[in-house]
Amino acid sequence: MNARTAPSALLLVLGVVAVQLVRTEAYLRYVKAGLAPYLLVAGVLLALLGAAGMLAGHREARALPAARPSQAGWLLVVPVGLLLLVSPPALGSYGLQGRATPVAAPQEALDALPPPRDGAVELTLREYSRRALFAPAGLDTARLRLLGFAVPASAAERAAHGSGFYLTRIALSCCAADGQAFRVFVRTDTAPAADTWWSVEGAPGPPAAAAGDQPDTVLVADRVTAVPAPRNPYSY
Amino acid sequence: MTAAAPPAPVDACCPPAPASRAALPLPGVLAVGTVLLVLAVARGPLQGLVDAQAAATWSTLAVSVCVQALPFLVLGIAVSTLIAAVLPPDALVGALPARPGLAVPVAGVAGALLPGCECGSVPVASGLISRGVPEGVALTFLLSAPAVNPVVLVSTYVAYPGSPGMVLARLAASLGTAVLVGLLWCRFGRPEWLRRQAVHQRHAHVGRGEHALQVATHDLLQAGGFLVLGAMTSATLHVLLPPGLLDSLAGQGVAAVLTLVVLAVVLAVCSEADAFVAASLTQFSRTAQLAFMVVGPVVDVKLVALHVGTFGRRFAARFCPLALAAAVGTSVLVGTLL
Repeated sequence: MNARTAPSALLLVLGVVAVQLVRTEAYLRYVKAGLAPYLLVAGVLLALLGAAGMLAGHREARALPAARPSQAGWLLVVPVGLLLLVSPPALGSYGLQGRATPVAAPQEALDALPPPRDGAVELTLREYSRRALFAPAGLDTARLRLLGFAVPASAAERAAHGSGFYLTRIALSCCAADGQAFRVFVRTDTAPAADTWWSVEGAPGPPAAAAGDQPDTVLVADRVTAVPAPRNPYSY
Repeated sequence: MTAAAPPAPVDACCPPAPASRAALPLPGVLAVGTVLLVLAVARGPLQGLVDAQAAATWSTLAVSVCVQALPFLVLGIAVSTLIAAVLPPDALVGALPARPGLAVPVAGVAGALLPGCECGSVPVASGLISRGVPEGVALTFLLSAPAVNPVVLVSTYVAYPGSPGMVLARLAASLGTAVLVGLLWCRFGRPEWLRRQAVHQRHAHVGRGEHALQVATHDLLQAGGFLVLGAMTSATLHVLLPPGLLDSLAGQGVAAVLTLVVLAVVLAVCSEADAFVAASLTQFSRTAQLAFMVVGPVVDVKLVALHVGTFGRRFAARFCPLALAAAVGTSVLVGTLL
């Protein structure tokens, strides 16, 4: 590799990393699932451009007008290096203590609950909170199963809600930078470590006031099971 | 007959770049490689120094913004390269109304019809300018394409269920910003503020395809590098922003608007997603939320970096404050009518 082909080599590496992100599904830690085809196309284009540039650079003996160098381009090594060496994890509990995104009130009547699976109705945390806050009657007799990662409750929050923890899931619109955390307080004696994933079954409890704009929604759990992190850590 | 400016002589020879900067130096590769190697080896001890969770969150955010923007940047540069390689130099100029007073709104509406996001529209605007489209017109397109395209309007509608007024307000304020900035630029802008890039001029002895290859490689590295810079800045501010700070700030009046304007610049959320973030900031007034959505696609840390990389520092130092002021102004104006 000489100085002329180095920029093309960088693009080739970038393209291959982008394709690998999609192939290994690691991209799900950073962006929404719908971006996969675009990322794949961009990766292939980058790799082709890089490869073509390297070939041309090798072939080309006569002096081309020097492409003004782009020193800034080397910054691309940072995300590539992070992805190859560190492989940054999906967003988790960091910075989420005591914070949650308020749930918007539904504009129309909510659909009926989905049919139960294995004896319980599965809802996303956001959906559960929406129903618990704005249409609690529909939840009365339901047995529910929720999935999320644990964020330990602070002493003040435990004083308000009893023993338990916050089951949390981050919803993405585009990428992790716009992630919004939705959470439900799980009343249980289990005290899980932060960022471990749990499947929780139980009955709805009445929402209870907390520090934020909205009351915390509560699930009184009778079954708390540690589970592996789902393929896609985020919900939408 | 309107006197169309003759296309810039393609073969006007630019001075050869100084040898020291003529290519990416191999020492650079080695230096970066060494740093990464040291980081990889010393990861354990280093983790003791910084909060490991903060560092992990920082890298996730920085990588996310890059991964999210990469496809659109590649797409934008592909379009821009195609425009430069395929269209005859005066095709676009001929298609536009000659009077800026007409061409600017036309560009604004053209931008609104095309789905595109901010990272892609910067190189496309650069391509338009290189084909002789007046700067003010191309910049209007640059501002309106990400801010008011169909995808963005639909996501705004979804994020604000039951208040279609928010969609209209966003459309009006964003389009107003784009047209206002374009008209001002046509009137007061100076061509020398934009950096002309020698690489974009094709020399007679370089083939068309080869030239396109060179330009695309150059633009991708240049824009990509600055994108990384923007992503790292945004991630840093994101992590440093004290949790709970927002809750303690005023939710009404001027302070609310300014707070969310700063937040929009710092967070660098892409325009398809910002409505959801804005809608969740329920403690702030609707005007402030509108300003968040109008400012975000126009000026944020990632975009400022991209502007510097694509058009140069002198341009960014004038364009970004102007666009920011116009965006805040129109949002407040539209917000008071809301």
